[in-house]
Amino acid sequence: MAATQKKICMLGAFAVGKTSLVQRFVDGLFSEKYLTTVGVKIDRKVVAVEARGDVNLILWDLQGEDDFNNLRATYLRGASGHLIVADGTRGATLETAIRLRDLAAEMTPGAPCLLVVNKSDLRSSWEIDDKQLSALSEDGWCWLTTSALNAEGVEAAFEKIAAMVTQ
Amino acid sequence: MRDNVPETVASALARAVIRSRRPAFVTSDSDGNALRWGGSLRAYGIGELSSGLAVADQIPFLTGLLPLADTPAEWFRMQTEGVFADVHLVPHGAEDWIILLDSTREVRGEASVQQLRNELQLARNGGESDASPAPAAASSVAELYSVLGILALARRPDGSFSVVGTPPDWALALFPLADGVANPSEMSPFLENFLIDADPHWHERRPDRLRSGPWREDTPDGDFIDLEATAIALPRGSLLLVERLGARHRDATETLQKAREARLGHYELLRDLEHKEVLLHTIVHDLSGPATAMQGFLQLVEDVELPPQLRKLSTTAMRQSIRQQEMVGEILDVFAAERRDLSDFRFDAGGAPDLVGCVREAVESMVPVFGKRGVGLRCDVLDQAALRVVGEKSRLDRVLFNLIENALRYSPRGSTVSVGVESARDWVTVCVEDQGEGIDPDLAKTIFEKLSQGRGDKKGKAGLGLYFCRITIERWGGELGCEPMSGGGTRFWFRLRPSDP
Repeated sequence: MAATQKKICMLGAFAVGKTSLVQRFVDGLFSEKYLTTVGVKIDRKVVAVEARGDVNLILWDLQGEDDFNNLRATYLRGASGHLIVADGTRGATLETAIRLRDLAAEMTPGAPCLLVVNKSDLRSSWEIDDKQLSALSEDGWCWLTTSALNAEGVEAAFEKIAAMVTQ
Repeated sequence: MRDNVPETVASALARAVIRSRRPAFVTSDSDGNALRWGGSLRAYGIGELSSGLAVADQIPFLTGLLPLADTPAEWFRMQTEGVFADVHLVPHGAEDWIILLDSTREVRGEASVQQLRNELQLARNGGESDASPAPAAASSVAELYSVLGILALARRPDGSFSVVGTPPDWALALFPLADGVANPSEMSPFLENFLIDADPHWHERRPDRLRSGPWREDTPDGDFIDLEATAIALPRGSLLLVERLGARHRDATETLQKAREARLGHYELLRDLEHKEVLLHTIVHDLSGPATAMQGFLQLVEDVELPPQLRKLSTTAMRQSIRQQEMVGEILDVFAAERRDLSDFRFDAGGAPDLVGCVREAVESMVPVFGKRGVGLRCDVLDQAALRVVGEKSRLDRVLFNLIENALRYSPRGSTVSVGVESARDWVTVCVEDQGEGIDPDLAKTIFEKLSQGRGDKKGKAGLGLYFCRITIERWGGELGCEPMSGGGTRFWFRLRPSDP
């Protein structure tokens, strides 16, 4: 049976590690060098979801948000879910993540969002603290932490969003 | 035979039509059940039929159409089994006739004509002045697309796309473009998404170009390529151009990369400063502790009777100890202000400080010091109403203290320092005027710079007090300055925006 296709958008402020997470997940690679994404890069990977079979994730890695570039809302169209990435070492990226979740909810009502707080390998330098994350949980957010550098939590994040979009 | 066409000629024509258009027919009764059939039904994917059974159950594309009842004869075109068919529905007495004619050749011919139209239109759009451009012009435009490395796709009436000219090599390597036909939806999910926006653009024949924004595709050799699609609606055609982004895009990307790296660096710098501030606070705390203790001991010594020489030494030691503490405080102030200066200032209108109140408090707190030095301090705002400005109270107090204390330093005994506030539509201005020697105009230009020392032998402590004033006022969008006054003395001033203009 052919795998179900699901479009997942990678959203977040610039340099939070969206591309690195996709690269780690799809190719098993990581590069220390920051290379800004301009526009969109689409990758694919099949993941097995328990009781649901294979899911072909079409990963839309969208350019980061900042003063120079705003997200084109039309890129979100047709998305089954969103992986919203924040950088634990930059507290302001969490504010961007919250704003992007609102935009995602507006453009794709009902599509689940998973917050990924990246760079867990730099935990001692985090500006996002447990209290903020607890508050997000209370607000209905589903989140987990990852490190594209050492791969911690990366597979789990994509498997989680795959499960969320096939529920 | 009508129109005087001989029967043999008519027969030849009929045979030609039958040969080229592969007619087939089915008849049905008034309930839509099959009666008779014949011709090239298999060419249209229609297999064995059963008499007396509903035609629509046996030929799905006729579902809902039979019986024809009193409807006039009509026809429609459909595609089945890889061929296009014109399906004619003709009521005839008690029977309904369904006649199928192969129109594949006609459809392909129309598509070719449309392709030619598109190309001709492109030629016109490309600046050809000839009202009836030669096909060679269209061909040139198609070649131009190839030379420019642009994949040009002309949208057909049926929604499919044909390739205009020769596709560039990069496109052939990336996309299936066999037989000059393209399906953008299958070429890339990005294009599939873009077509949703492009369709209304073409349909409404909007005059502007609709750009997709850039996207990146992996190439078979493991590299990548940046592309952008553009939808263009022409008067008689629709085009989808897919362009490989070149040097300009690379430059823009590089600029963006540098800007973002700079921003990350800036952020790192802020964090670094913050860490240093914590470290500095710790060191200063350690430094000021012994200084405080020393002042306590010197205070005790003051109560002891000492020979004049020792008294003089203990007084000097006390003064130096106090000065040390002041310098430490000043350094900390500036360090903190610099860091905040680099951060975004978020003004809270509800917490806007009252400048008049701040001036009044600052003056009142300094009256005793002025008294000790024999300098008068006049405040012109005692009865003035509140004036709220853009800023923060604690730092505004510090600015006022620095300016008034600076004026005191250059005021001769018996003179007076005046502090006043003036309000205009766009600004609220504070002036601090002393009756000293007056600042040198050259020094006035640099006195607010970091580590700038003041006038003559009455220089400041660390050269940071006025610098602190400048970065603080400017951070709030204000201005400050100083100049010698015509009658002697110096006027220092700063102005801030009213919080509620």
